[in-house]
Amino acid sequence: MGPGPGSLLINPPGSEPKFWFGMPALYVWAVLWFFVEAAVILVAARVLWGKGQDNE
Amino acid sequence: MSNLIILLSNTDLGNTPKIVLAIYLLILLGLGIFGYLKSKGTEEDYYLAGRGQGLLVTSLTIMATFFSGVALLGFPGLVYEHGVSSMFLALNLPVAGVAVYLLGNGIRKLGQARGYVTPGDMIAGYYGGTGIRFVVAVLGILYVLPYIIIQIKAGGMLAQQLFGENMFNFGATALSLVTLIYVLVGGMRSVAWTDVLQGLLLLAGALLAGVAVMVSLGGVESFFSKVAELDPKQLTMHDPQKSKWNPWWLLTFCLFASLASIVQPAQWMRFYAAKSSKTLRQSAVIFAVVLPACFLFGVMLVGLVGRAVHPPIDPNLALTAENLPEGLNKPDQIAVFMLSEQLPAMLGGLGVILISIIMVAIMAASMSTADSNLHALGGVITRDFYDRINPNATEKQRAWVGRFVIIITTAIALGIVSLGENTDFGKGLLQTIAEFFFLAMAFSCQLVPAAIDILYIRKGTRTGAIAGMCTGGAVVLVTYLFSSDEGIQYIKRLIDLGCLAVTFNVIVFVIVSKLTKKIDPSHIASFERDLS
Repeated sequence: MGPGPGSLLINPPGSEPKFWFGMPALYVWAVLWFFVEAAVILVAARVLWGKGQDNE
Repeated sequence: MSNLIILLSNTDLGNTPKIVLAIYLLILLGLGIFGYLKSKGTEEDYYLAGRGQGLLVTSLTIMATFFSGVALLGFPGLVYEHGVSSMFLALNLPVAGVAVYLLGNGIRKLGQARGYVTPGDMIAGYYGGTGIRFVVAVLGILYVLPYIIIQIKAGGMLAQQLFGENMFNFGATALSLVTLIYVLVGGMRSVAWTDVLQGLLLLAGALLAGVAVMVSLGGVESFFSKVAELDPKQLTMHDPQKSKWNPWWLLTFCLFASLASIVQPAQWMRFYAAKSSKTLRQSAVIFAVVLPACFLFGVMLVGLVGRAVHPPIDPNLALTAENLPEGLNKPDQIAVFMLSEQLPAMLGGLGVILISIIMVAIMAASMSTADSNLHALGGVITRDFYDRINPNATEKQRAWVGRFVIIITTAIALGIVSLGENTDFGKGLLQTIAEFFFLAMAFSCQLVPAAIDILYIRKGTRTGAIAGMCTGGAVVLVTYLFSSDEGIQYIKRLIDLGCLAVTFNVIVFVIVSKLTKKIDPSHIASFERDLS
Protein backbone atom coordinates (compact mmCIF):
# COMPACT_ATOMS: atom_id res chain seq x y z
CA MET A 1 0.00 0.00 0.00
CA GLY A 2 3.02 2.26 0.05
CA PRO A 3 2.86 3.53 -3.51
CA GLY A 4 -0.84 2.61 -3.92
CA PRO A 5 -3.98 3.85 -2.17
CA GLY A 6 -2.04 4.61 1.03
CA SER A 7 -0.22 7.45 -0.70
CA LEU A 8 -3.60 9.04 -1.50
CA LEU A 9 -4.23 9.39 2.23
CA ILE A 10 -0.98 11.30 2.64
CA ASN A 11 -0.91 13.79 -0.20
CA PRO A 12 -3.59 13.23 -2.87
CA PRO A 13 -3.49 15.10 -6.21
CA GLY A 14 -4.29 18.79 -5.81
CA SER A 15 -3.77 18.89 -2.03
CA GLU A 16 -1.35 21.15 -0.17
CA PRO A 17 2.01 19.44 0.37
CA LYS A 18 2.50 18.10 3.89
CA PHE A 19 5.80 17.88 5.72
CA TRP A 20 6.80 15.42 8.42
CA PHE A 21 10.03 16.04 10.37
CA GLY A 22 10.87 18.80 7.89
CA MET A 23 10.73 16.40 4.93
CA PRO A 24 8.00 15.93 2.28
CA ALA A 25 5.38 13.60 3.80
CA LEU A 26 5.30 11.43 0.66
CA TYR A 27 9.06 10.92 0.85
CA VAL A 28 8.79 9.92 4.53
CA TRP A 29 5.91 7.59 3.55
CA ALA A 30 8.06 5.95 0.85
CA VAL A 31 10.95 5.53 3.30
CA LEU A 32 8.60 4.12 5.95
CA TRP A 33 7.26 1.54 3.48
CA PHE A 34 10.77 0.65 2.42
CA PHE A 35 11.52 -0.18 6.09
CA VAL A 36 8.28 -2.18 6.35
CA GLU A 37 9.17 -4.19 3.22
CA ALA A 38 12.76 -4.68 4.39
CA ALA A 39 11.59 -5.83 7.84
CA VAL A 40 9.11 -8.32 6.35
CA ILE A 41 11.81 -9.75 4.10
CA LEU A 42 14.33 -10.00 6.93
CA VAL A 43 11.83 -11.86 9.12
CA ALA A 44 10.72 -14.11 6.24
CA ALA A 45 14.35 -14.92 5.39
CA ARG A 46 15.12 -15.87 8.99
CA VAL A 47 11.89 -17.62 9.94
CA LEU A 48 10.33 -19.07 6.77
CA TRP A 49 12.83 -19.35 3.97
CA GLY A 50 15.64 -20.93 5.96
CA LYS A 51 13.69 -23.97 7.17
CA GLY A 52 15.39 -27.17 6.08
CA GLN A 53 17.15 -25.50 3.17
CA ASP A 54 20.65 -24.95 4.47
CA ASN A 55 21.81 -28.55 4.71
CA GLU A 56 22.14 -28.97 0.94
CA MET B 1 22.94 10.32 -22.51
CA SER B 2 23.93 12.37 -25.59
CA ASN B 3 23.29 15.56 -23.71
CA LEU B 4 25.39 14.31 -20.84
CA ILE B 5 28.28 14.55 -23.25
CA ILE B 6 27.69 18.26 -23.84
CA LEU B 7 27.19 18.81 -20.13
CA LEU B 8 30.38 17.07 -19.09
CA SER B 9 32.43 18.60 -21.86
CA ASN B 10 31.59 21.97 -20.35
CA THR B 11 33.08 20.85 -17.05
CA ASP B 12 36.86 20.95 -16.74
CA LEU B 13 37.71 17.60 -15.25
CA GLY B 14 41.12 17.30 -16.96
CA ASN B 15 42.43 13.82 -17.74
CA THR B 16 41.16 12.24 -14.51
CA PRO B 17 38.04 10.60 -16.04
CA LYS B 18 40.17 9.12 -18.84
CA ILE B 19 42.68 7.67 -16.35
CA VAL B 20 39.90 6.24 -14.14
CA LEU B 21 38.22 4.77 -17.24
CA ALA B 22 41.49 3.23 -18.47
CA ILE B 23 42.12 1.62 -15.06
CA TYR B 24 38.55 0.30 -15.00
CA LEU B 25 38.84 -1.26 -18.48
CA LEU B 26 42.19 -2.86 -17.60
CA ILE B 27 40.68 -4.38 -14.46
CA LEU B 28 37.83 -5.79 -16.57
CA LEU B 29 40.29 -7.43 -18.95
CA GLY B 30 42.18 -8.80 -15.96
CA LEU B 31 38.97 -10.31 -14.58
CA GLY B 32 38.28 -11.79 -18.02
CA ILE B 33 41.66 -13.55 -17.95
CA PHE B 34 40.99 -14.67 -14.36
CA GLY B 35 37.72 -16.26 -15.50
CA TYR B 36 39.50 -17.98 -18.40
CA LEU B 37 42.21 -19.44 -16.14
CA LYS B 38 39.58 -20.80 -13.75
CA SER B 39 37.34 -22.25 -16.47
CA LYS B 40 37.06 -25.97 -17.17
CA GLY B 41 36.01 -25.73 -20.82
CA THR B 42 32.62 -27.44 -20.42
CA GLU B 43 29.29 -25.99 -21.53
CA GLU B 44 27.96 -25.91 -17.97
CA ASP B 45 31.07 -24.11 -16.80
CA TYR B 46 30.90 -21.56 -19.62
CA TYR B 47 27.25 -20.69 -19.05
CA LEU B 48 26.85 -21.26 -15.31
CA ALA B 49 30.35 -21.16 -13.79
CA GLY B 50 29.96 -24.77 -12.68
CA ARG B 51 26.81 -23.88 -10.65
CA GLY B 52 29.00 -22.90 -7.71
CA GLN B 53 28.73 -19.13 -7.34
CA GLY B 54 28.86 -17.92 -3.75
CA LEU B 55 27.20 -15.04 -1.94
CA LEU B 56 29.43 -12.13 -3.00
CA VAL B 57 29.30 -12.95 -6.71
CA THR B 58 25.64 -14.00 -6.79
CA SER B 59 24.31 -10.96 -4.95
CA LEU B 60 26.33 -8.43 -6.93
CA THR B 61 25.85 -10.03 -10.33
CA ILE B 62 22.06 -10.09 -9.79
CA MET B 63 22.08 -6.40 -8.81
CA ALA B 64 24.41 -5.33 -11.64
CA THR B 65 22.36 -7.23 -14.22
CA PHE B 66 19.11 -5.76 -12.85
CA PHE B 67 20.16 -2.17 -13.56
CA SER B 68 21.55 -0.59 -16.70
CA GLY B 69 22.89 2.97 -17.00
CA VAL B 70 19.26 4.10 -16.61
CA ALA B 71 19.64 3.63 -12.86
CA LEU B 72 22.10 6.44 -12.29
CA LEU B 73 20.77 8.83 -14.95
CA GLY B 74 17.11 7.95 -15.46
CA PHE B 75 15.95 7.70 -11.84
CA PRO B 76 17.13 11.17 -10.74
CA GLY B 77 15.85 12.47 -14.09
CA LEU B 78 12.38 11.09 -13.38
CA VAL B 79 12.37 12.62 -9.89
CA TYR B 80 13.47 15.96 -11.35
CA GLU B 81 10.64 15.80 -13.89
CA HIS B 82 7.78 14.29 -11.89
CA GLY B 83 8.68 14.97 -8.27
CA VAL B 84 8.50 12.86 -5.16
CA SER B 85 5.77 10.50 -6.48
CA SER B 86 8.30 8.89 -8.86
CA MET B 87 10.49 7.99 -5.85
CA PHE B 88 7.99 5.22 -5.11
CA LEU B 89 9.61 3.34 -8.00
CA ALA B 90 12.29 2.27 -5.50
CA LEU B 91 9.65 0.21 -3.69
CA ASN B 92 9.64 -2.31 -6.56
CA LEU B 93 13.12 -3.42 -5.50
CA PRO B 94 12.16 -5.23 -2.27
CA VAL B 95 9.45 -7.05 -4.26
CA ALA B 96 12.15 -8.09 -6.75
CA GLY B 97 14.25 -9.24 -3.79
CA VAL B 98 11.43 -11.54 -2.67
CA ALA B 99 11.20 -12.95 -6.21
CA VAL B 100 14.96 -13.60 -6.21
CA TYR B 101 14.34 -16.17 -3.50
CA LEU B 102 10.80 -17.41 -4.11
CA LEU B 103 11.28 -17.91 -7.85
CA GLY B 104 15.07 -18.12 -7.99
CA ASN B 105 15.52 -20.91 -5.48
CA GLY B 106 13.06 -23.25 -7.20
CA ILE B 107 14.66 -22.47 -10.55
CA ARG B 108 18.09 -23.26 -9.03
CA LYS B 109 16.90 -26.58 -7.62
CA LEU B 110 15.40 -27.75 -10.89
CA GLY B 111 18.46 -26.53 -12.79
CA GLN B 112 20.83 -28.50 -10.57
CA ALA B 113 18.70 -31.62 -10.60
CA ARG B 114 18.07 -31.65 -14.35
CA GLY B 115 21.04 -29.82 -15.89
CA TYR B 116 19.03 -26.85 -17.17
CA VAL B 117 20.87 -23.83 -18.59
CA THR B 118 18.20 -21.55 -20.09
CA PRO B 119 14.60 -20.58 -19.15
CA GLY B 120 13.45 -22.61 -22.17
CA ASP B 121 15.12 -25.73 -20.75
CA MET B 122 12.99 -25.58 -17.60
CA ILE B 123 9.68 -24.53 -19.13
CA ALA B 124 9.95 -26.97 -22.04
CA GLY B 125 11.29 -29.62 -19.66
CA TYR B 126 8.13 -29.41 -17.57
CA TYR B 127 5.43 -28.83 -20.21
CA GLY B 128 7.19 -30.82 -22.97
CA GLY B 129 7.59 -30.04 -26.68
CA THR B 130 9.69 -27.76 -28.81
CA GLY B 131 7.00 -25.15 -29.56
CA ILE B 132 6.91 -23.81 -26.02
CA ARG B 133 10.72 -23.67 -25.96
CA PHE B 134 10.68 -21.42 -29.05
CA VAL B 135 8.03 -19.13 -27.54
CA VAL B 136 10.07 -18.76 -24.32
CA ALA B 137 13.26 -18.16 -26.33
CA VAL B 138 11.61 -15.49 -28.52
CA LEU B 139 10.23 -13.65 -25.45
CA GLY B 140 13.72 -13.77 -23.95
CA ILE B 141 15.36 -12.49 -27.14
CA LEU B 142 12.84 -9.61 -27.30
CA TYR B 143 14.15 -8.61 -23.87
CA VAL B 144 17.84 -9.20 -24.49
CA LEU B 145 18.52 -7.67 -27.93
CA PRO B 146 17.33 -4.07 -27.35
CA TYR B 147 19.27 -3.99 -24.09
CA ILE B 148 22.54 -5.00 -25.80
CA ILE B 149 22.16 -2.42 -28.58
CA ILE B 150 21.23 0.48 -26.28
CA GLN B 151 24.16 -0.24 -23.92
CA ILE B 152 26.67 -0.27 -26.82
CA LYS B 153 25.27 3.08 -27.93
CA ALA B 154 25.84 4.42 -24.41
CA GLY B 155 29.52 3.46 -24.66
CA GLY B 156 29.86 5.50 -27.86
CA MET B 157 28.34 8.51 -26.20
CA LEU B 158 30.63 8.34 -23.20
CA ALA B 159 33.64 8.22 -25.57
CA GLN B 160 32.36 11.35 -27.34
CA GLN B 161 32.44 13.14 -24.03
CA LEU B 162 35.84 11.91 -22.99
CA PHE B 163 37.76 12.00 -26.28
CA GLY B 164 35.82 14.29 -28.62
CA GLU B 165 32.69 14.52 -30.78
CA ASN B 166 34.01 12.26 -33.57
CA MET B 167 34.92 9.42 -31.23
CA PHE B 168 31.46 7.81 -31.07
CA ASN B 169 32.36 4.80 -33.23
CA PHE B 170 35.63 4.34 -31.36
CA GLY B 171 33.82 4.29 -27.99
CA ALA B 172 31.06 1.93 -29.10
CA THR B 173 33.65 -0.40 -30.67
CA ALA B 174 35.92 -0.27 -27.61
CA LEU B 175 33.05 -1.04 -25.22
CA SER B 176 31.89 -3.89 -27.46
CA LEU B 177 35.38 -5.36 -27.86
CA VAL B 178 36.28 -5.23 -24.17
CA THR B 179 32.91 -6.77 -23.26
CA LEU B 180 33.23 -9.34 -26.06
CA ILE B 181 36.73 -10.41 -24.97
CA TYR B 182 35.85 -11.12 -21.36
CA VAL B 183 32.50 -12.76 -22.20
CA LEU B 184 34.17 -14.97 -24.81
CA VAL B 185 37.19 -16.08 -22.84
CA GLY B 186 35.74 -16.55 -19.40
CA GLY B 187 31.96 -17.01 -19.89
CA MET B 188 29.76 -16.70 -16.82
CA ARG B 189 32.74 -16.66 -14.44
CA SER B 190 34.23 -13.54 -16.06
CA VAL B 191 30.84 -11.89 -16.53
CA ALA B 192 29.95 -12.46 -12.89
CA TRP B 193 33.30 -11.27 -11.54
CA THR B 194 33.19 -8.12 -13.66
CA ASP B 195 29.63 -7.69 -12.38
CA VAL B 196 31.04 -7.70 -8.84
CA LEU B 197 33.16 -4.67 -9.66
CA GLN B 198 30.37 -3.06 -11.68
CA GLY B 199 27.78 -3.74 -8.97
CA LEU B 200 29.99 -2.18 -6.30
CA LEU B 201 30.51 0.87 -8.53
CA LEU B 202 26.76 1.13 -9.14
CA LEU B 203 25.90 0.99 -5.43
CA ALA B 204 28.71 3.34 -4.45
CA GLY B 205 27.83 5.78 -7.24
CA ALA B 206 24.13 5.84 -6.30
CA LEU B 207 24.74 6.40 -2.60
CA LEU B 208 27.70 8.72 -2.98
CA ALA B 209 25.76 11.01 -5.32
CA GLY B 210 23.05 11.70 -2.71
CA VAL B 211 25.38 12.04 0.25
CA ALA B 212 27.75 14.36 -1.64
CA VAL B 213 24.99 16.71 -2.77
CA MET B 214 23.43 16.75 0.71
CA VAL B 215 26.77 17.63 2.33
CA SER B 216 27.52 20.28 -0.29
CA LEU B 217 24.15 21.97 0.38
CA GLY B 218 24.86 22.25 4.11
CA GLY B 219 23.41 19.06 5.61
CA VAL B 220 20.01 17.38 5.95
CA GLU B 221 18.08 20.38 7.31
CA SER B 222 19.34 22.80 4.69
CA PHE B 223 18.83 20.16 1.98
CA PHE B 224 15.15 19.63 2.82
CA SER B 225 14.50 23.34 3.30
CA LYS B 226 15.48 23.70 -0.38
CA VAL B 227 13.15 20.81 -1.27
CA ALA B 228 10.30 22.57 0.60
CA GLU B 229 10.52 25.41 -1.94
CA LEU B 230 9.35 23.06 -4.72
CA ASP B 231 6.12 23.58 -6.66
CA PRO B 232 3.29 21.75 -4.72
CA LYS B 233 2.72 19.51 -7.77
CA GLN B 234 6.21 18.06 -7.20
CA LEU B 235 5.35 17.08 -3.63
CA THR B 236 1.95 15.40 -4.09
CA MET B 237 0.63 12.33 -5.92
CA HIS B 238 -0.42 12.83 -9.56
CA ASP B 239 -3.87 12.58 -11.09
CA PRO B 240 -4.35 9.47 -13.33
CA GLN B 241 -6.20 11.65 -15.85
CA LYS B 242 -3.00 13.61 -16.48
CA SER B 243 0.00 11.53 -15.52
CA LYS B 244 1.08 7.93 -14.98
CA TRP B 245 2.78 8.88 -11.70
CA ASN B 246 -0.41 8.09 -9.83
CA PRO B 247 -0.97 5.48 -7.08
CA TRP B 248 -2.60 2.88 -9.36
CA TRP B 249 0.12 2.78 -11.99
CA LEU B 250 2.85 2.89 -9.34
CA LEU B 251 1.28 0.02 -7.41
CA THR B 252 1.05 -2.24 -10.47
CA PHE B 253 4.55 -1.25 -11.57
CA CYS B 254 6.01 -2.09 -8.17
CA LEU B 255 4.35 -5.50 -8.22
CA PHE B 256 4.99 -6.60 -11.79
CA ALA B 257 7.94 -4.73 -13.29
CA SER B 258 10.23 -6.21 -10.68
CA LEU B 259 9.11 -9.73 -11.57
CA ALA B 260 9.83 -9.07 -15.24
CA SER B 261 13.42 -8.15 -14.57
CA ILE B 262 13.86 -11.16 -12.31
CA VAL B 263 12.73 -13.75 -14.89
CA GLN B 264 14.62 -12.35 -17.87
CA PRO B 265 17.08 -14.90 -19.32
CA ALA B 266 20.30 -13.47 -17.80
CA GLN B 267 18.85 -13.43 -14.26
CA TRP B 268 17.28 -16.86 -14.70
CA MET B 269 20.72 -18.25 -15.58
CA ARG B 270 22.17 -16.58 -12.46
CA PHE B 271 19.73 -18.58 -10.33
CA TYR B 272 20.94 -21.81 -11.99
CA ALA B 273 24.53 -20.70 -11.25
CA ALA B 274 23.99 -20.02 -7.52
CA LYS B 275 25.68 -22.47 -5.18
CA SER B 276 22.92 -23.09 -2.65
CA SER B 277 19.60 -22.08 -1.22
CA LYS B 278 21.40 -20.09 1.45
CA THR B 279 23.31 -18.11 -1.21
CA LEU B 280 20.07 -17.07 -2.89
CA ARG B 281 18.32 -16.33 0.39
CA GLN B 282 21.08 -14.00 1.51
CA SER B 283 21.36 -12.46 -1.97
CA ALA B 284 17.61 -11.76 -1.89
CA VAL B 285 17.93 -9.94 1.44
CA ILE B 286 20.90 -7.88 0.27
CA PHE B 287 19.07 -7.01 -2.95
CA ALA B 288 15.88 -6.03 -1.12
CA VAL B 289 17.57 -3.90 1.53
CA VAL B 290 20.77 -2.42 0.09
CA LEU B 291 19.67 -1.53 -3.45
CA PRO B 292 16.55 0.53 -2.60
CA ALA B 293 18.43 2.25 0.25
CA CYS B 294 21.11 3.41 -2.20
CA PHE B 295 18.42 4.94 -4.41
CA LEU B 296 16.03 6.33 -1.77
CA PHE B 297 18.82 7.88 0.31
CA GLY B 298 21.13 8.51 -2.62
CA VAL B 299 20.76 9.43 -6.23
CA MET B 300 16.96 9.97 -6.21
CA LEU B 301 17.36 12.79 -3.67
CA VAL B 302 19.70 14.51 -6.11
CA GLY B 303 16.85 14.71 -8.63
CA LEU B 304 14.51 16.14 -6.00
CA VAL B 305 16.79 18.91 -4.78
CA GLY B 306 18.03 19.48 -8.33
CA ARG B 307 14.53 20.61 -9.28
CA ALA B 308 14.57 23.14 -6.42
CA VAL B 309 18.08 24.45 -7.10
CA HIS B 310 17.85 24.43 -10.93
CA PRO B 311 14.12 24.71 -11.75
CA PRO B 312 12.84 24.81 -15.34
CA ILE B 313 12.07 28.25 -16.74
CA ASP B 314 8.34 27.48 -17.08
CA PRO B 315 7.25 24.48 -14.94
CA ASN B 316 4.06 24.10 -16.99
CA LEU B 317 5.88 23.46 -20.27
CA ALA B 318 7.72 20.34 -21.44
CA LEU B 319 11.25 20.00 -20.07
CA THR B 320 13.11 20.62 -23.34
CA ALA B 321 16.59 22.16 -23.56
CA GLU B 322 15.03 25.61 -24.16
CA ASN B 323 12.96 25.34 -20.97
CA LEU B 324 15.80 24.16 -18.72
CA PRO B 325 18.57 26.15 -17.02
CA GLU B 326 21.70 26.82 -19.06
CA GLY B 327 23.94 23.77 -19.31
CA LEU B 328 21.14 21.33 -18.52
CA ASN B 329 19.57 19.97 -21.71
CA LYS B 330 17.57 17.04 -20.41
CA PRO B 331 16.19 15.96 -16.99
CA ASP B 332 18.39 12.81 -17.18
CA GLN B 333 21.44 15.03 -16.81
CA ILE B 334 20.48 16.42 -13.43
CA ALA B 335 22.58 14.07 -11.26
CA VAL B 336 25.79 14.62 -13.23
CA PHE B 337 24.96 18.34 -13.57
CA MET B 338 24.60 18.74 -9.81
CA LEU B 339 27.63 16.60 -9.01
CA SER B 340 29.96 18.20 -11.53
CA GLU B 341 28.88 21.59 -10.14
CA GLN B 342 29.15 20.73 -6.45
CA LEU B 343 31.88 18.12 -6.02
CA PRO B 344 34.95 19.81 -7.59
CA ALA B 345 33.99 23.11 -5.90
CA MET B 346 33.62 21.41 -2.52
CA LEU B 347 36.43 18.86 -2.59
CA GLY B 348 38.86 20.08 -5.30
CA GLY B 349 40.94 17.21 -6.74
CA LEU B 350 39.10 14.59 -4.67
CA GLY B 351 35.81 15.90 -6.07
CA VAL B 352 37.13 15.42 -9.62
CA ILE B 353 38.10 11.83 -8.78
CA LEU B 354 34.66 11.20 -7.26
CA ILE B 355 32.79 12.57 -10.30
CA SER B 356 35.08 10.45 -12.51
CA ILE B 357 34.18 7.36 -10.49
CA ILE B 358 30.49 8.17 -10.85
CA MET B 359 30.92 8.52 -14.63
CA VAL B 360 32.68 5.17 -14.77
CA ALA B 361 29.86 3.77 -12.59
CA ILE B 362 27.40 4.87 -15.28
CA MET B 363 29.46 3.06 -17.90
CA ALA B 364 29.82 0.06 -15.59
CA ALA B 365 26.04 -0.14 -15.24
CA SER B 366 25.75 -0.22 -19.05
CA MET B 367 28.49 -2.80 -19.50
CA SER B 368 27.18 -5.13 -16.81
CA THR B 369 23.81 -5.20 -18.57
CA ALA B 370 25.37 -5.68 -22.02
CA ASP B 371 27.69 -8.51 -20.96
CA SER B 372 25.01 -10.43 -19.03
CA ASN B 373 22.56 -10.20 -21.91
CA LEU B 374 25.14 -11.15 -24.55
CA HIS B 375 26.16 -14.16 -22.52
CA ALA B 376 22.52 -15.17 -21.93
CA LEU B 377 21.73 -14.78 -25.64
CA GLY B 378 24.57 -17.16 -26.51
CA GLY B 379 23.00 -19.74 -24.19
CA VAL B 380 19.44 -19.23 -25.43
CA ILE B 381 20.33 -19.52 -29.14
CA THR B 382 22.53 -22.56 -28.57
CA ARG B 383 20.25 -24.51 -26.25
CA ASP B 384 16.86 -23.49 -27.57
CA PHE B 385 17.57 -23.39 -31.32
CA TYR B 386 20.91 -25.00 -32.31
CA ASP B 387 20.36 -28.07 -30.13
CA ARG B 388 17.01 -28.69 -31.85
CA ILE B 389 18.70 -28.60 -35.26
CA ASN B 390 21.75 -30.62 -34.24
CA PRO B 391 20.79 -32.75 -31.21
CA ASN B 392 24.00 -34.80 -31.50
CA ALA B 393 26.33 -31.82 -31.08
CA THR B 394 29.10 -32.32 -28.56
CA GLU B 395 29.40 -30.12 -25.49
CA LYS B 396 32.45 -28.40 -26.97
CA GLN B 397 30.62 -27.70 -30.23
CA ARG B 398 27.72 -26.14 -28.32
CA ALA B 399 30.05 -23.92 -26.28
CA TRP B 400 31.67 -22.69 -29.51
CA VAL B 401 28.31 -22.07 -31.15
CA GLY B 402 27.42 -19.91 -28.13
CA ARG B 403 30.65 -17.95 -28.57
CA PHE B 404 29.96 -17.55 -32.30
CA VAL B 405 26.47 -16.18 -31.52
CA ILE B 406 28.01 -13.69 -29.08
CA ILE B 407 30.50 -12.48 -31.73
CA ILE B 408 27.84 -12.16 -34.46
CA THR B 409 25.37 -10.41 -32.13
CA THR B 410 28.00 -7.93 -30.99
CA ALA B 411 28.95 -7.22 -34.62
CA ILE B 412 25.30 -6.72 -35.65
CA ALA B 413 24.55 -4.54 -32.60
CA LEU B 414 27.64 -2.45 -33.31
CA GLY B 415 26.60 -2.15 -36.97
CA ILE B 416 23.10 -0.96 -36.01
CA VAL B 417 24.51 1.56 -33.52
CA SER B 418 26.98 2.83 -36.12
CA LEU B 419 24.22 3.06 -38.78
CA GLY B 420 22.04 4.91 -36.27
CA GLU B 421 24.78 7.49 -35.82
CA ASN B 422 25.52 7.96 -39.51
CA THR B 423 22.37 7.34 -41.63
CA ASP B 424 18.66 8.23 -41.59
CA PHE B 425 17.68 4.58 -42.07
CA GLY B 426 19.86 3.65 -39.09
CA LYS B 427 18.33 6.41 -36.97
CA GLY B 428 14.83 5.05 -37.66
CA LEU B 429 15.93 1.51 -36.90
CA LEU B 430 17.59 2.58 -33.67
CA GLN B 431 14.46 4.54 -32.69
CA THR B 432 12.32 1.41 -33.14
CA ILE B 433 14.80 -0.61 -31.08
CA ALA B 434 14.72 2.07 -28.36
CA GLU B 435 10.90 1.72 -28.30
CA PHE B 436 11.24 -2.04 -27.90
CA PHE B 437 13.72 -1.38 -25.08
CA PHE B 438 10.81 0.12 -23.12
CA LEU B 439 8.61 -2.89 -23.92
CA ALA B 440 11.29 -5.41 -22.97
CA MET B 441 10.11 -5.88 -19.40
CA ALA B 442 6.51 -6.36 -20.49
CA PHE B 443 7.65 -9.17 -22.82
CA SER B 444 9.82 -11.00 -20.29
CA CYS B 445 7.07 -10.68 -17.65
CA GLN B 446 5.08 -13.23 -19.67
CA LEU B 447 7.29 -16.02 -18.33
CA VAL B 448 6.11 -15.36 -14.75
CA PRO B 449 2.78 -17.33 -14.82
CA ALA B 450 4.45 -20.44 -16.29
CA ALA B 451 7.32 -20.19 -13.78
CA ILE B 452 4.89 -19.89 -10.84
CA ASP B 453 2.84 -22.80 -12.18
CA ILE B 454 5.90 -25.06 -12.43
CA LEU B 455 7.30 -24.09 -9.04
CA TYR B 456 4.13 -23.88 -6.93
CA ILE B 457 0.83 -24.85 -8.59
CA ARG B 458 1.47 -27.50 -11.28
CA LYS B 459 -2.05 -27.43 -12.72
CA GLY B 460 -1.31 -25.81 -16.09
CA THR B 461 -0.94 -27.57 -19.44
CA ARG B 462 1.44 -27.07 -22.32
CA THR B 463 -1.24 -25.59 -24.58
CA GLY B 464 -2.41 -23.34 -21.76
CA ALA B 465 1.10 -22.04 -21.12
CA ILE B 466 1.75 -21.38 -24.82
CA ALA B 467 -1.64 -19.69 -25.27
CA GLY B 468 -1.07 -17.53 -22.18
CA MET B 469 2.40 -16.40 -23.20
CA CYS B 470 1.34 -15.69 -26.80
CA THR B 471 -1.69 -13.72 -25.56
CA GLY B 472 0.44 -11.68 -23.16
CA GLY B 473 3.01 -10.95 -25.88
CA ALA B 474 0.20 -9.99 -28.28
CA VAL B 475 -1.29 -7.56 -25.74
CA VAL B 476 2.11 -5.83 -25.47
CA LEU B 477 2.36 -5.56 -29.26
CA VAL B 478 -1.21 -4.30 -29.68
CA THR B 479 -0.74 -1.57 -27.08
CA TYR B 480 2.51 -0.60 -28.86
CA LEU B 481 0.85 -0.47 -32.29
CA PHE B 482 -2.14 1.54 -30.99
CA SER B 483 -0.20 3.63 -28.51
CA SER B 484 -1.58 6.88 -29.96
CA ASP B 485 -5.18 5.85 -29.12
CA GLU B 486 -6.52 7.86 -26.16
CA GLY B 487 -8.23 4.87 -24.54
CA ILE B 488 -5.01 2.84 -24.66
CA GLN B 489 -3.08 5.80 -23.26
CA TYR B 490 -5.50 6.11 -20.35
CA ILE B 491 -5.28 2.38 -19.56
CA LYS B 492 -1.47 2.61 -19.67
CA ARG B 493 -1.62 5.49 -17.19
CA LEU B 494 -3.71 3.39 -14.80
CA ILE B 495 -1.93 0.08 -15.05
CA ASP B 496 1.61 -0.99 -15.87
CA LEU B 497 1.78 -2.60 -19.33
CA GLY B 498 3.47 -5.74 -17.99
CA CYS B 499 0.74 -6.16 -15.38
CA LEU B 500 -1.98 -5.67 -18.01
CA ALA B 501 -0.44 -8.24 -20.36
CA VAL B 502 0.18 -10.75 -17.55
CA THR B 503 -3.48 -10.44 -16.49
CA PHE B 504 -4.58 -11.52 -19.99
CA ASN B 505 -1.87 -14.18 -19.98
CA VAL B 506 -3.14 -15.69 -16.69
CA ILE B 507 -6.82 -15.65 -17.76
CA VAL B 508 -6.05 -17.45 -21.04
CA PHE B 509 -3.57 -19.81 -19.32
CA VAL B 510 -6.20 -20.89 -16.75
CA ILE B 511 -9.08 -21.29 -19.22
CA VAL B 512 -7.05 -23.19 -21.85
CA SER B 513 -5.45 -25.39 -19.18
CA LYS B 514 -8.92 -26.42 -18.00
CA LEU B 515 -9.82 -27.50 -21.52
CA THR B 516 -6.68 -29.24 -22.69
CA LYS B 517 -4.75 -32.44 -21.99
CA LYS B 518 -3.27 -32.60 -18.50
CA ILE B 519 0.38 -33.35 -17.82
CA ASP B 520 1.24 -36.91 -16.78
CA PRO B 521 0.96 -37.11 -12.92
CA SER B 522 4.22 -39.10 -12.66
CA HIS B 523 6.03 -36.31 -14.55
CA ILE B 524 4.57 -33.75 -12.12
CA ALA B 525 5.59 -35.91 -9.16
CA SER B 526 9.19 -36.06 -10.37
CA PHE B 527 9.29 -32.24 -10.45
CA GLU B 528 7.78 -32.10 -6.95
CA ARG B 529 10.58 -34.37 -5.74
CA ASP B 530 13.27 -32.20 -7.30
CA LEU B 531 11.74 -29.10 -5.73
CA SER B 532 11.39 -30.51 -2.23
